[in-house]
Amino acid sequence: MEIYFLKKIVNFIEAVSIKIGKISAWLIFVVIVAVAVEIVMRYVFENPTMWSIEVSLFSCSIMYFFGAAWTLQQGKHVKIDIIYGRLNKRKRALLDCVTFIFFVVFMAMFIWAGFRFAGKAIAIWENSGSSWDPPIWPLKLSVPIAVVLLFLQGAAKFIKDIHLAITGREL
Amino acid sequence: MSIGLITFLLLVMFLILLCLGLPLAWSLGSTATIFILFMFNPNVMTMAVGRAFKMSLDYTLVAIPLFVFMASVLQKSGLADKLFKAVYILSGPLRGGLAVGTVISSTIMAAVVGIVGAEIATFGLIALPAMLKRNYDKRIALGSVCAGGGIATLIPPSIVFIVYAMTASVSVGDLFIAGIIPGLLLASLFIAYILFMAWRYPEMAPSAPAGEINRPFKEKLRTLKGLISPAILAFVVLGSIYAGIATPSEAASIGCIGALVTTYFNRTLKIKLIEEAVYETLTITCMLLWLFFGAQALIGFYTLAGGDQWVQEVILGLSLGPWGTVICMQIVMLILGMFLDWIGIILLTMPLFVPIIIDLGFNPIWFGVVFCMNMQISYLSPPFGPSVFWLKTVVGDEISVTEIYKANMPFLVLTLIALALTVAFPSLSLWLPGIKP
Repeated sequence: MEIYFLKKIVNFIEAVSIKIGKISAWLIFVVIVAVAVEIVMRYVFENPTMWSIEVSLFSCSIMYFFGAAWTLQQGKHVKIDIIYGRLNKRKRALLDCVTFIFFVVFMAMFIWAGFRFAGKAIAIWENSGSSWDPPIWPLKLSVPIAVVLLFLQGAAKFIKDIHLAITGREL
Repeated sequence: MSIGLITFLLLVMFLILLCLGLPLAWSLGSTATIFILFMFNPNVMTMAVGRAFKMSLDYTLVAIPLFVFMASVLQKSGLADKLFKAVYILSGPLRGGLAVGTVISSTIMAAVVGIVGAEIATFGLIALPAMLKRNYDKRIALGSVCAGGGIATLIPPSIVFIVYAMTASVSVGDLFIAGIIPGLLLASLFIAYILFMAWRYPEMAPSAPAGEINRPFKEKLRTLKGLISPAILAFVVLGSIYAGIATPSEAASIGCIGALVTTYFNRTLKIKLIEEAVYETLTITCMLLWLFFGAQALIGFYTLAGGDQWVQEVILGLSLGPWGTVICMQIVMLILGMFLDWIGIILLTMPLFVPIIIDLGFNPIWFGVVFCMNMQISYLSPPFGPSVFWLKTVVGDEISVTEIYKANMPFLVLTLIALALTVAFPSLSLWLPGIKP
């Protein structure tokens, strides 16, 4: 019964990671268009835009942070497999359970510091300070939120690993 | 605690985590976090997050997802197949022609694709079977695919250069241009070697049977048509950077649009292809960026603890003279290259090495090209040669990893020669971008 409940949680988190990752991936087109518009405006109309560079930068930033959870879900973050690569799945899961503690330390501090960092920006409703000057606090706030999603994806993987390590079966 | 001890503990913890299979990004990040908590106060962490945020808004880095997307679209549109088909038909009469063709098509592909792994996998799938079918010696066949694929690190647009440029704060455009001659030098050394072997030992790389050689002229011309669009694309992208019309990020955006347009005209543009390219771009970009964030935190901590000055003092204290220091650094990177990926090496060593290099009066652009040459070697050499594993994933069980390593040996020696030349003659890299050595 509890296992079934856990499986549901894990599936839900993974579904969220995948969905958010896929949506943010399409921002690449915003980047392509924004940069291209800038070139056209500068050379054809000799009138550079105020917004295109920042639009492309903000889109990239969102991609970097909100795509991380899905990248983790696919196991695409590079690792060295000198020892790891020679183990069977169950032993790998066991090792992953041990190293998960270190992942948690990094994530916890990143999230805590991220909210403090965003808090400072929100306190003054900070703008970017460029000539276009859009608000930048929402972007800063999005960083810790994205890292929370990344952490949850890590936790979902931990649940799967611990199940595999104990029972020898996939959850 | 003395800084020497801190360095030691830091390395030990980082390496243990890495060996236990924790992804590189988290190994870097958690080592940094733990040392920050022990040595400083948590506020430093807020600074680290602030720096990661600032880095995510770096305009140089916009070029990474754009070039990855361009590469991904071209890769999936079957550009490599077309290239190799042309080479296959044109190189028929020449002994060793297919292996030479593989190196040439790898080099051309490298001019539009900045990622090594994808290239080796593609040519492993199309060029290798063709060579083996024509009874090429395995050593020539495997070596040309593996070594040829690695050239992508040196021929622009190379992701390695973008990352180096960001870390060393030099111009990406200059680096791109600086890599061209050394990249071509490497390719010509490979080609010369293959031609020599084919001339000396004809049975190693036979030419095509007579029936295949005499293709009608029209057919030969038709195969060339497939090469026109990538050639124009490479010319526009690199040309606009070289002429200073566009920044690398802008050139990359033009390249993306160009890639989509050429794919459309070749009738291979499908929703599925775009979807796959978009998703692949996100995954690769996120993987890279989180490595940057992790390394940034670790190097940030280390600098704050005074580590950069300590490394500088130790290296300069060895009093090896400028050239001795450069050679010493090469050896350190070669050793690191056996265990770490290029990106880990750049992010960890360059913030420490580049200031020393500049202090000694060397050019950081030249050093970047030398670094890339060096990584070329680590790609091919045991025990952890990424090229070898990429090739292994597509060749299956018939060819062992050891066989691939053996096949790489002569190419490895050639790369060492090219490395020595690049180090000894800085003008090889600095002449084209017009920098005084």
